[in-house]
Amino acid sequence: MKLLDTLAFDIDHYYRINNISPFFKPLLFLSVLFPLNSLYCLAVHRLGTWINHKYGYYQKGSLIRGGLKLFYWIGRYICIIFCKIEIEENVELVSSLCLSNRGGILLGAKKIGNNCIIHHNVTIGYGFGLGQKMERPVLGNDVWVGPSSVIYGDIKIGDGVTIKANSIVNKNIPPHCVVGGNPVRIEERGVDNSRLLMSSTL
Amino acid sequence: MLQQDIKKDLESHSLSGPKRDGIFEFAKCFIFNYGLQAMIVYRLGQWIFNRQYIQRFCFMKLIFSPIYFVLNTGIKYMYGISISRKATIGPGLYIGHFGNIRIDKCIIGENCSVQQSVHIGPEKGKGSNSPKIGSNVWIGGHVTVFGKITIADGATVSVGSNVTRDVPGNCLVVGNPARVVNKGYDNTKLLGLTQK
Repeated sequence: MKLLDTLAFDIDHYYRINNISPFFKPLLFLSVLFPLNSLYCLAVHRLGTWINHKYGYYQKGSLIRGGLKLFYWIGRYICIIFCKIEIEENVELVSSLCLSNRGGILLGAKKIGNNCIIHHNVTIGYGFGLGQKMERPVLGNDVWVGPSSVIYGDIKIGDGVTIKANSIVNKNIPPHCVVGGNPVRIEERGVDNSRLLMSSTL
Repeated sequence: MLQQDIKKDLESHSLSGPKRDGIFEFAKCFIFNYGLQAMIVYRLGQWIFNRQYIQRFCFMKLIFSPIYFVLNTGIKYMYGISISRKATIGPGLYIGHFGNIRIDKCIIGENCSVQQSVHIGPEKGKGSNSPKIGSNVWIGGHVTVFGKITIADGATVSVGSNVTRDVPGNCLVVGNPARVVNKGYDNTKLLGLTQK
């Protein structure tokens, strides 16, 4: 089943990045059921997308879909209260993504690639200014997003980009760059951020 | 007074516009808008503490103040929205999303809009230094407003800006520290997006 496959990917990624001892690895499957960390939020989001995939638009009135949707919405509410993380329903997350356990995360991106790390207090969403297009950002693979940074508007962020803490990104960014500041500037080019992506600690 | 203010808050939060009302619409808005819950608790606090006649009837205060404190701490820990009862907020404040919103002693006008991770408050260690915010002001997410600053009517503060100086009316400020980028910026569309 596709749902369990993606969940297993997420758990494996979470285990690898948070430096959890191998003794606790089987217990991580339990944490999907209890709202203790960001894995729960990912699981709820996976459930939501799975419902939309399996019971599509034409089965909107069916009882099974309604019941599962109610279950999903309750899960999302628990996410907000315990983990302070909200992930919109129409976000496309590709396989593994690591969210910080400290909360304050609002994800409204169009697409997020795999092997990304998103720290606490990050907002990703629509840009609505005068003369701006109402669109959501697209993030590539291996993107490291620092704490309390904002990404908004109709933009594309390339693979392997490092976004520094407290930066406000509203421009297209080429791959393998280090960006930071408010308003955002490209500080370095051609930087390999694979060491940053090894662990979730700052 | 309490009822009118809550009605204005509901109007700014409701997605279907100010025309419809009723208990069902109210319940729908109340469940999905965490900001509305916080605002109602804040109005309750104002109603309890900022009234002169209630001083005479001390038992009313004794009954209502524990309820207010329980609700306030609940909102604070559930959604991360803490609004001090020393703040004076005009009717129709919209609070978008949740998390790390803190409004300390300040003055806010009518029909304003505040998003997530916003901190508005006085600077410590000085005299009268609370910020003053006019009406129809749109404040984006991740904004800090500290100290004796006045933001005039109809101003727009962009996402992530750190306001350190006074902001004139009807203009857009961006950046850290915040600078005026556009004079004569019309923010009715922005206020309309959040307050449909």
